[in-house]
Amino acid sequence: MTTRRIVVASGNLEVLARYAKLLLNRGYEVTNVKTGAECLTLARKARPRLVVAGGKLPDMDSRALCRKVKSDPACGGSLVVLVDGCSQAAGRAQQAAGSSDLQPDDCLSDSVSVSELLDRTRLWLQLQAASEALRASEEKYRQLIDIVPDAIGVIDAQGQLLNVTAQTARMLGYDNPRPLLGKSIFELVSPDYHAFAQAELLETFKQGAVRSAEYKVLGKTGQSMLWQVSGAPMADGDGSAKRLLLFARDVTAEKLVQAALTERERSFRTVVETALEGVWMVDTSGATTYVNPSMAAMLGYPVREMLGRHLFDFLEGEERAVAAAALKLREEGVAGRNDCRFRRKDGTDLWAIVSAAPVLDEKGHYTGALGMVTDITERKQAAEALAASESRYRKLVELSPDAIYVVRDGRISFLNAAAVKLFGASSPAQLLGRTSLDLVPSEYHQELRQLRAKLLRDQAMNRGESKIRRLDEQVLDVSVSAAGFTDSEGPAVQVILRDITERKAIEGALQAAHRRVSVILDSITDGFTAFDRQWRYTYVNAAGARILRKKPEELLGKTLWQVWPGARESLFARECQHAMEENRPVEFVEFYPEPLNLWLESRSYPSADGLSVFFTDVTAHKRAEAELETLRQQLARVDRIQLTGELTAALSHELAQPLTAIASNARAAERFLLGAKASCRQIREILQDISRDAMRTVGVMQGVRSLLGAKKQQFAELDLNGLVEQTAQLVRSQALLNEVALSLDLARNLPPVLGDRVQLQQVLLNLVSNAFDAMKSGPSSKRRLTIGTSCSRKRFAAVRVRDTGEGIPPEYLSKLFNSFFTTKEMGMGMGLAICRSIIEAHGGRIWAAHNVDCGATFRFVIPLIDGGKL
Amino acid sequence: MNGLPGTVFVVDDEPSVRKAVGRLLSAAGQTVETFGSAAEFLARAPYQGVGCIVLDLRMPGNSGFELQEKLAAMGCVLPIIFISGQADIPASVRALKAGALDFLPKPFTDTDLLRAIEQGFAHCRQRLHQKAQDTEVLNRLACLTPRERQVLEGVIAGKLNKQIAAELGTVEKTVKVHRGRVMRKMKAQSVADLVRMAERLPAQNRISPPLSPADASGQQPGPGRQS
Repeated sequence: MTTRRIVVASGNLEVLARYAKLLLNRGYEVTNVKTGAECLTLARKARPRLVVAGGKLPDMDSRALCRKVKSDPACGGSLVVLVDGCSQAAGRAQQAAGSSDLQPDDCLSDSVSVSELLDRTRLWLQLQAASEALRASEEKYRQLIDIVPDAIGVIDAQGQLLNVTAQTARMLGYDNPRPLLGKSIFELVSPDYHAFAQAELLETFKQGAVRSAEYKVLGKTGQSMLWQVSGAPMADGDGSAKRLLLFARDVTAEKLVQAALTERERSFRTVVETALEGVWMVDTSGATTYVNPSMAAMLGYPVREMLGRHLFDFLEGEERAVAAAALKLREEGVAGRNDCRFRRKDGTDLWAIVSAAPVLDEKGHYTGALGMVTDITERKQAAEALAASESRYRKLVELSPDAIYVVRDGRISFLNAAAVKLFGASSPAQLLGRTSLDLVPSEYHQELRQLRAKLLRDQAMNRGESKIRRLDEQVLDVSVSAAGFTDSEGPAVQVILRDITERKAIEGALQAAHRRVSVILDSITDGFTAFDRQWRYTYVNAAGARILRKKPEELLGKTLWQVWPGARESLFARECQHAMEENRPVEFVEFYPEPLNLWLESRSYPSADGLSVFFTDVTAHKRAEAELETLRQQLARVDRIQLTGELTAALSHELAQPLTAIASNARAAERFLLGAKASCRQIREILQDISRDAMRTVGVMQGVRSLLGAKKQQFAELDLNGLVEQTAQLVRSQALLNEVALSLDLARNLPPVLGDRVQLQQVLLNLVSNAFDAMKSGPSSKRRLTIGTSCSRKRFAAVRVRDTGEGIPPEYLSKLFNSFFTTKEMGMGMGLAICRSIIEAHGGRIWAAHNVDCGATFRFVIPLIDGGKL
Repeated sequence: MNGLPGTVFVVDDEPSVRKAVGRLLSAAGQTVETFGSAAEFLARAPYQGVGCIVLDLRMPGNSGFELQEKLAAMGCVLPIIFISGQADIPASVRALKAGALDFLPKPFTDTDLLRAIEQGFAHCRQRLHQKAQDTEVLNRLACLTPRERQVLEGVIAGKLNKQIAAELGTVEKTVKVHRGRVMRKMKAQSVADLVRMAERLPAQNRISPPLSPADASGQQPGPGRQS
């Protein structure tokens, strides 16, 4: 039913038509109709809150319309107001005459003003809302009473049942209440209780107060039950009580238990006598009828001295008032528990907790009270300490790095700072009172509900892992410790969370890594063995066993020294010891003599448990490498011979100069001596010149011899500037013959490199020789060759050979250093390939580039010794 | 002129060779001047006497040949003896073709060098003598009148007086008189003597090239007749 829906049947009344229009303007859903039939149809269909009808409707009287709307359930209880000119009084008179249910809810004169109508509309709608609520409330109560587990019924003064609930019927064994209505309660109560019931009935009406008693009741099939029945008189309109409201509860089972208890009372007595707790019984007057030895001892009396004395004799001041109130409650049949301060015989205080219950005889009459007394003097004294401890605990919880919160009734009732942070809130207020399920991804809801129920039921503790959903929707992995507990506010669950997202991620990665590793180890073709710290083999894979020509069982558990007696002297042992001691990976290649007769390349990685070693059989590779190296050396030598051949002309020129000088000087000296014209000084000068020039020829010869010599590669500390200068001397004449201007551009303080002098000179000669060839076709005035050195990035020495020749076509740049690539008619195409192999053997790199102006520049770099620490 | 002493100019960029060769020639009694480069030599004051140049063929900047060309262009009469660290045949051919006296590959013996220098001196003296004669002829030639010069040209070309007279538009008798004056002014004993003198003149001073048979017909004027 829409709250603001109104139907107006305005008939011929102008005021209603205007009223309807104004309502529309005010936001109501208004329909204005002209006839009664239309109004009725609409009331059924739209179920309006309010129907306002007035004037003369063409088809029916407005009163008749009202009755039809009111009586039709389809109209949903719309409020009906008539504006028909009848005065309210007249309306009320009519109302009294007919069934009030079908009367209009309000009547107005047709001279009413629009504004009054509007004012009243608000009141009508409020009235309608209130009556709706009332109806709903009544319905709810009826349903509630139906599900109450107790039997409820109403009887008249004669004991005839006027009304019973469905539950009552069920308890008596009937399907529904109908057969019970009109029956007398005496038909239901066992005959031996009739007299008692009659008396109680009368007494209840007489007293006008609630009375309660137990009755034996017979069910439909004659079965006997014990019901605890309470009766309350119901006041009628005139104030006199003619009916009783009865509440009854089946206590058959309880009574059986009670009877059993009585049976066992004797055995309990022994227990009570020896109990550490004090047991104290008083009669209805409060006089002590029994105390057990523990109780007497607590108060410092012998048992007999206490018997017969009033409870109050052992209490002081206010405590007596408290005890009196407690006894009163016992008399009313109520058990209770309270703190109490007794006075000992020696005058000191005894703090105790007393759990007390009324003592009833078989008929349920009050005969006194029984109290269980626990000495809490010490506990009281410890209370302050406890309070301090509690505050410490609270602080601990607040400061705990783990998120801690308490869930009560499914809602968060407490949380610490870490929890606020974990859930991504800025203050506890954002979370307090929220349903804890809000903070968990929906797929965990079912699980969480079950867990919580279990924790609350068993007051148990549970640990596990789960996920939470933060306020920002981010989902985190958490470890959860949860425990159910009950405190003064009732059952609750305390939860401790720790963010393990990172740990989860790491675990996931670790597991994946572990899987990968085992798959890899099984499938790799490299050998793999693991040693513990005592050098025992702890693992060997299939490939490892095959390479070592041992079965895994021949290795596992044995030490390296047991398996390989000669191992102590090996590089393997030395390197692996380093790896283990210095905790760093090592890599090396070693030849293992008989029985293995293998070259193995090994990589050892230290670990917490020992050492992992991967190894590969590189024997074939090594052999090929050696062959290749020999081949390379031979090729290099061929290249040098060829180079020297190219140099021959220039070299003869280079030698001719000093030889000419020597010959001329010698002849000059001879002539001076013959002519006796020479001074000794002159002759000495001549001889000095001769020996200097002779040494020069020796230098040239040595250069040539070293180039042609078949010496093996010899690495030594080398000054590249010196090498360039020496090479320049060898090619100076060649430059002259080729009409090339040769210049050097040497870096100062160039750190030394490690290299083979002859091989590097060979590279230089190759590059210079190529440069000469490249410049042959150009004009001699343009032919310039520069050999330079530099230091690159403090780690490499660089040498460049720059010419002004034809340059290199870009398409050749990439294959320039390939074997058999040549642009020369006479070339073998090996020179630059050999250069590359030499430079790479030095750990360097060689490349060429086209110059911006003209010609090409070849460069190579070689690592400085110690990475150029100079 | 045979008795005139000569000077040897050694041009070599190689200091040890320059110094040793200079020393050797001094010991052999020669007057020596040494230069480290062609430019250094050219910077020296012009030398008019007997001498020869010992020149290194390969010097930076190709200056051995360049110097040779420059000296030839300047009309230098000093013969050049090339020395070279290399028995480079194309280079030696080129040097000799360009008028070098000798080509000595390094290392050379002192005998070879000294003999080449003696030859150089002789050559130089001859050239100086020749040069002096040429100067004399040119001086005589300058004394001739234009008409006498025309007659001289005719005589050298081997024409008869009658032919010359016809070409010049005069009579045989006048030509005879001119011819007698030419012979006297040129101090020539015979026509053959006159022809030899004319032939020995340097090219730029040539009186006239020998006329070709076609030219003899007189149809086409030869280049020599322009003056």
